Amino acid sequence: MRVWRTGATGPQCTGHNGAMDLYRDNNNPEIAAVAARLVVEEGLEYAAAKRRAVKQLGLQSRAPLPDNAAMDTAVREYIAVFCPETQAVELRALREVALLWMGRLAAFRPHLGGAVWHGTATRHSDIYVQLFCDDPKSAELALLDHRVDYHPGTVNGWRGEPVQALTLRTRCDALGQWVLVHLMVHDLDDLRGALKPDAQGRKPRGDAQALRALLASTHAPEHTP
Amino acid sequence: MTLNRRTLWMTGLAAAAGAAGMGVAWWRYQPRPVGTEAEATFWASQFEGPNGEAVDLAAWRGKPLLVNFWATWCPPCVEELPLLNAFYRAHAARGWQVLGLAVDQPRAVRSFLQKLPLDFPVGMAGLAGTQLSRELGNPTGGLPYTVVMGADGAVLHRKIGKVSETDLAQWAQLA
Repeated sequence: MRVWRTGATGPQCTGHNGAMDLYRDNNNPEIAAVAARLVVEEGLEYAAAKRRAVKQLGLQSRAPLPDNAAMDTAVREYIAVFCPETQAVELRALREVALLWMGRLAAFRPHLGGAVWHGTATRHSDIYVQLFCDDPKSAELALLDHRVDYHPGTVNGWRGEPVQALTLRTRCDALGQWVLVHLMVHDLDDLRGALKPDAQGRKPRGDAQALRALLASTHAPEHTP
Repeated sequence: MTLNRRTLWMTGLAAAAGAAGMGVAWWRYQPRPVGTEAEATFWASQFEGPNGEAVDLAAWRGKPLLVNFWATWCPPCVEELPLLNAFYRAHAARGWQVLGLAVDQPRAVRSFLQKLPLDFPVGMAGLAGTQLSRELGNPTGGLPYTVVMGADGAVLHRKIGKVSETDLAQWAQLA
């Protein structure tokens, strides 16, 4: 990867190591901090938050962006400083909603991922549940049979492949608001790869039992599963 | 920003999903005939109530009965429960019985009933309830499903989907 940057001597192209480090030293933590605020306060996804942070800071659109591990750290820091109490309550409420839907969809081996699983969710966060089905149509039929209003779509799975997503809206009484639940429908065979630790060595998702354990341990300070 | 996104989502997209679903719905939600065997299975069923009390259907025989299969996460089911409750209040004195069979997690049903108490008894049918509703003429186990049974224990009428005031008024004439 090559990065252009504008200096006093005009644009020049540098080898990727030097340039990346330079930018990381200068702007990267700042981008991460601004993006973290957008994630926590407005519920943006990481990618969108990074792009908007770059714009807000008036940086070049090609400025190197913080990676997701750096974003996680920045989001945790933001929460710890600005809203530790409210966030803990909101996270718990969302985890309860997730557990309820995982119980309803127990036949499809539901696994919770995303911010609600990793503990960085706030009231703006959506719930992401991965389903592992023998028959990919069966989850959608279950929603039809319960007359649940849902919106079918496609998202990119963790390997970048397109995955069927069913999005539904559910009332969260504890938060007094609606919450979106995205159900990603995977093949049963995908389950093996789904539990491998991610780049940061975390469990990328957990089943209902793991979530229950997480809820039971919530009185302790929030930790990364 | 977030609120807008959620509101927009409901209006446009739900309409599209609804239109797509309707084609599937018309053939999925036609009740099928019920054999006397299925009726016998039904009358031999036993459930647990929300507080662990026994709901033994053998004891319910001999009077007209409206059975409603529902779940807390099925919006039309939740909408029709007050109608069923009103039906029960209006016709219980004439011998009508109403039984709600919750095809759902017992914990969810209990907390739901605390918010919306019902006058008629509820049985925790769990996932087995889907099978029972299939045997009673509901091919996919779709919800809500309502079965009307006469004093002789035979199925008089069935409806897949939300009941209306008109349905209930007609059923009240059956017994």
